[in-house]
Amino acid sequence: MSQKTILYVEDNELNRRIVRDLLKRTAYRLLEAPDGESSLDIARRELPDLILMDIQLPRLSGIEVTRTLRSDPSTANTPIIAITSFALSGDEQKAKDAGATAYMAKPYSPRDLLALIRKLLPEGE
Amino acid sequence: MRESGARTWFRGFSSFRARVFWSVVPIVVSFLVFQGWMNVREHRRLVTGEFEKRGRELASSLGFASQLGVFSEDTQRLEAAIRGTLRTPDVSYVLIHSRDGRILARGGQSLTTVTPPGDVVAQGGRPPARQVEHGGQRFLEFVSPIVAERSQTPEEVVLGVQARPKGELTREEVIGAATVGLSLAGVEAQVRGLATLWGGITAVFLVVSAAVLYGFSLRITNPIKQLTQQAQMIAAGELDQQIAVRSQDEIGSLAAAFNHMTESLRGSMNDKERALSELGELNRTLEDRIRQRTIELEERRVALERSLTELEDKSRQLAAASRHKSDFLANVSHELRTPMNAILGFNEMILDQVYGDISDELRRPLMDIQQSGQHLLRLISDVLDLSKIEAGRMDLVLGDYSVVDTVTAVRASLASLAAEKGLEFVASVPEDLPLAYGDGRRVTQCLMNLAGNALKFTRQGRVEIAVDLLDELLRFRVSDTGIGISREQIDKLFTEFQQADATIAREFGGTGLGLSITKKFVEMHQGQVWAQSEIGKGSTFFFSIPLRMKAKSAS
Repeated sequence: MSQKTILYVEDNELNRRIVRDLLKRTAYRLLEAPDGESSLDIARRELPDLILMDIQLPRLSGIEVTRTLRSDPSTANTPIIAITSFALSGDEQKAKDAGATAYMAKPYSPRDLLALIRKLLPEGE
Repeated sequence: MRESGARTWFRGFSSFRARVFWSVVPIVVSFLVFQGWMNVREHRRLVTGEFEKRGRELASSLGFASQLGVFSEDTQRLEAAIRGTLRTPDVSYVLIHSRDGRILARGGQSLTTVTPPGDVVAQGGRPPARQVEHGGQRFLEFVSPIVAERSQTPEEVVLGVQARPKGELTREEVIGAATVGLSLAGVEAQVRGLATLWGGITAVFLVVSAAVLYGFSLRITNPIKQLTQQAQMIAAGELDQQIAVRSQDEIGSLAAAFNHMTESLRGSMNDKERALSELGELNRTLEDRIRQRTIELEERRVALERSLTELEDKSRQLAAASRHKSDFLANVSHELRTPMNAILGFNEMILDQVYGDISDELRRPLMDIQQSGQHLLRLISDVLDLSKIEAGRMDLVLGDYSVVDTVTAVRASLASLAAEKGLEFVASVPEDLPLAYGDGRRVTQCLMNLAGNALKFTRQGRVEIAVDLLDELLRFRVSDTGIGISREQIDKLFTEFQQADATIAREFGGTGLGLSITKKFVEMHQGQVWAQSEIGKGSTFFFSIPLRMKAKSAS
């Protein structure tokens, strides 16, 4: 089995570092995108196995990016974990409606996030 | 009949006048008539008596004068005597009869029939009188016997004096009768004249008395008329009339009384008019005041409207400010989450030894950082929740949820805290509970708040969570053996930022937002929350929501 690729779309460097550190010791390969526009390019080019999508993004929001990815046949079935900063206010519902596979409320426990990732995308081997 | 007749007669007169007239005039008239009749009768009697006396005298003197003539039957002598008699006034006729009824002489008015004098005997020297009628004329006839006194009888003349029966000094012998007829016309004319005079007097008296009465009644009725007119004028409202009081009698005093009444009436009318004018004045001023007041009120209304508008503006501004506050809080919360996410994330990874092994000394403060971070995160969440609820931007995310899962999650996340404090922490949920419908995460949050508080305020003993279903109503119960809350404090408990006591806040921590948020979420689920407590013995909090809440439109 080849290495599983995860794309993490997040504008905050600190948060990106958490996931980077979290996945350092795993078999997953991590790709990072700081905004929605670049994430769409990377996703279409790299075709990751799983996408972690922060909803609160500057300019193009995570919801819109998710919707666009779902309309693209190459990424239509890629699991997407939406990371909602508002653990309330119906962001989860919006994410689900846009086509997200699961969601994780921020602040999340890295432990729980890794568990969720492993559940959706087994590490392999 | 007589009354109405009188009324007709006295048309234009007052009834009072008529009554006076008809009560006085008959008496006067009857008195005059009676007096006249009496007078005439007496006069007649006197005149007749005189007449008769004259007649008798005439007859007697004629009889005496005719003595010789009759004795000698000398007609010439008799006629001379008759002529003398006839010259006397009222003598109409004279007759001289002989003893055997032959008319020896006659004079004056000739008569158709002559009543013979009959056996006329002088009785006491008074010749009788009788009324006779001749040719429609009435006469009073007086017949006087003609007596011849014989002092010497022929025998005496021849034989000398003879002895006479004793007492017989003279001897009288009726040798004829002298009749004198006096005409009654003069007497009757005289009586008639008298009667006429009396009639005239009566008539004059009647007229005079009527006039006097009229004048008198005028004196009475005029003031009464005047009174009546004045009364009518007063009734018509002219009060400045005054009756001239002339007499001192009852009418006068009536007039005086009337004047007095008018005066006092005028006085009271003046009072009334004054009162009326005052009232009118008052009315006018009242109208002015009302107008003034209306203007003032209008001004106030305008001012009020202005302030209302201002108030509405302020209210809008306030609402906007409140929204801004909520937005601001939401933003701040969000901004806080990013660093919180980093702190908690890194700390947890350190604890999970992602960065390598950690010593036990290091593990202890790292755990404290983790717990404080979680606590801080909860506070931020509460503030955010409440500001969203206040801004009306809180929406429930409705869906099926498992009550068993809810209780399990709460118990799992609080188990460590309970274990730390050495509290017994139990939960009982019917295993066969059907799926509920609502916002499962919010319900979990509510139960978490209540159970968290129970653990927070209990130093020893136990905290119990229990759920039961009754008539499609889910009832959650959280009871503890904590410090308890007084009745008054329970009532204030569910309002924002209220904790039973400030010292409690210091000892036990917390924002006091938990109960407020719980109440709002329960109410959004069409449920209610309440509590029972006893100081020192513990508290029991309840909330009940429909097992399957009815979705209200989009929310």
